[in-house]
Amino acid sequence: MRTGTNDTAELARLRDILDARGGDPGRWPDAEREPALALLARSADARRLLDEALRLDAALDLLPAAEPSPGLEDRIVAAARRTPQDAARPGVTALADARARRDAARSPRRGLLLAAALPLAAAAALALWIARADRGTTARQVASAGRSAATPHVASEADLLAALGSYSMPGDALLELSGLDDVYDADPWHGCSDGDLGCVKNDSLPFEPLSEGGTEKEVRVLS
Amino acid sequence: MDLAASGEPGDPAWESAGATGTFGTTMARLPDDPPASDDALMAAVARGEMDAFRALSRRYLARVVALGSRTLGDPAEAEDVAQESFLRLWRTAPTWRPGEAKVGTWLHRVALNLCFDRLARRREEHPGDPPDAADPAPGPSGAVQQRETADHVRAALDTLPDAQRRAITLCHYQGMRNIEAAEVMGVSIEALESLLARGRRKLREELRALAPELLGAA
Repeated sequence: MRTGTNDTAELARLRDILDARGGDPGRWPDAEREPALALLARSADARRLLDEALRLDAALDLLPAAEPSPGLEDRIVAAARRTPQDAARPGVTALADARARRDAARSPRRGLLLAAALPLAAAAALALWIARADRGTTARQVASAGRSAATPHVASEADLLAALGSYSMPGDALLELSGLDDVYDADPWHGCSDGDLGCVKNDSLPFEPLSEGGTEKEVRVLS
Repeated sequence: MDLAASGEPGDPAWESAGATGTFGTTMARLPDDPPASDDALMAAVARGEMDAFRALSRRYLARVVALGSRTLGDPAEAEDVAQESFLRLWRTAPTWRPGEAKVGTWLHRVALNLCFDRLARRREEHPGDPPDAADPAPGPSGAVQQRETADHVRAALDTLPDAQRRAITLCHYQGMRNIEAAEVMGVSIEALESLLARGRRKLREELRALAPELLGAA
């Protein structure tokens, strides 16, 4: 025999089912249909809940749906005749593309190829650097020569070629390309406070140091 | 290739509703053959076969128009949405990959998004307007009453957050199973059921205020 507590729990569950799925038992979860019907058979409260759900279903059904007008299908087909289709990619969709890229990235063969290619690329870069390291003017000398000229310096092709062979470290090429060296030339103390490395000492800068521990981010220029 | 013979039985009832099996010359089949599956039709549509496109349109057109009209309350707009949905299907067919999506699910998702885009535009353009005012045009008293009733229901639906309304539209009006509606909406079944439950509770409250007689609580 069921206890009142069980019925209360089952009523709560029935309410959840009716709220989520409505009053048609055909839409209830298969596993819960039979217990719910049994509860309805013995509980007036359960029947009241079902009645409320069915009334709401019936009210919602009062919203009519339009039917397609007689010519709509023909209009759609006619519009399709005028509409180009997307370019066919037989058997490949964007999702398939993404999957293929992911699978390729995960493939052991690709990993092996990458592992073999990286040392080769590094060796090639090192050889190139060594071969060009002995060539004349450094890039910085070229640049400073240009800046010291009375007229604006326009790097000639020869200058640029000379600059290509002037790096002292392989990584310099990256700095040069991104223009970071120019930033350093303009503000040599920028991001640098160690005098031993050739940086300007902080105490010689025309700035107050940032307040430590505070949230103030502003740099104030001394008068 | 006999496309009609490659049908895949077992589609959900809502998905196959309205299937007719009348195909064009390239898809001729015997009267006793089962209807072509959606995937087979999509393969033919991808080759530009207009008869297959017509067959797919016929299979789903009524459901898409019903979805649009109940959501938008305007049959003409519903037909616009249906046309745009099917044209997108036509354009997409060459890149369609069988098994990754069901045509019915895809169409419902596209049509529902188009409907809610239109609803959002309406709200932006007429933010102060009530969602659906009753049509004041005179008519037979029964028709007027039906229209007023429908307006009350639509007004109650309009109070729902979009996600709750989408869930109720798909499950109650389109008759989708919860798992299918969840797929259309891209949510879990648990999330869908939560949306449904909250939506139905809110609808009951709104209808009690708007038209208590509809719930038998006059």
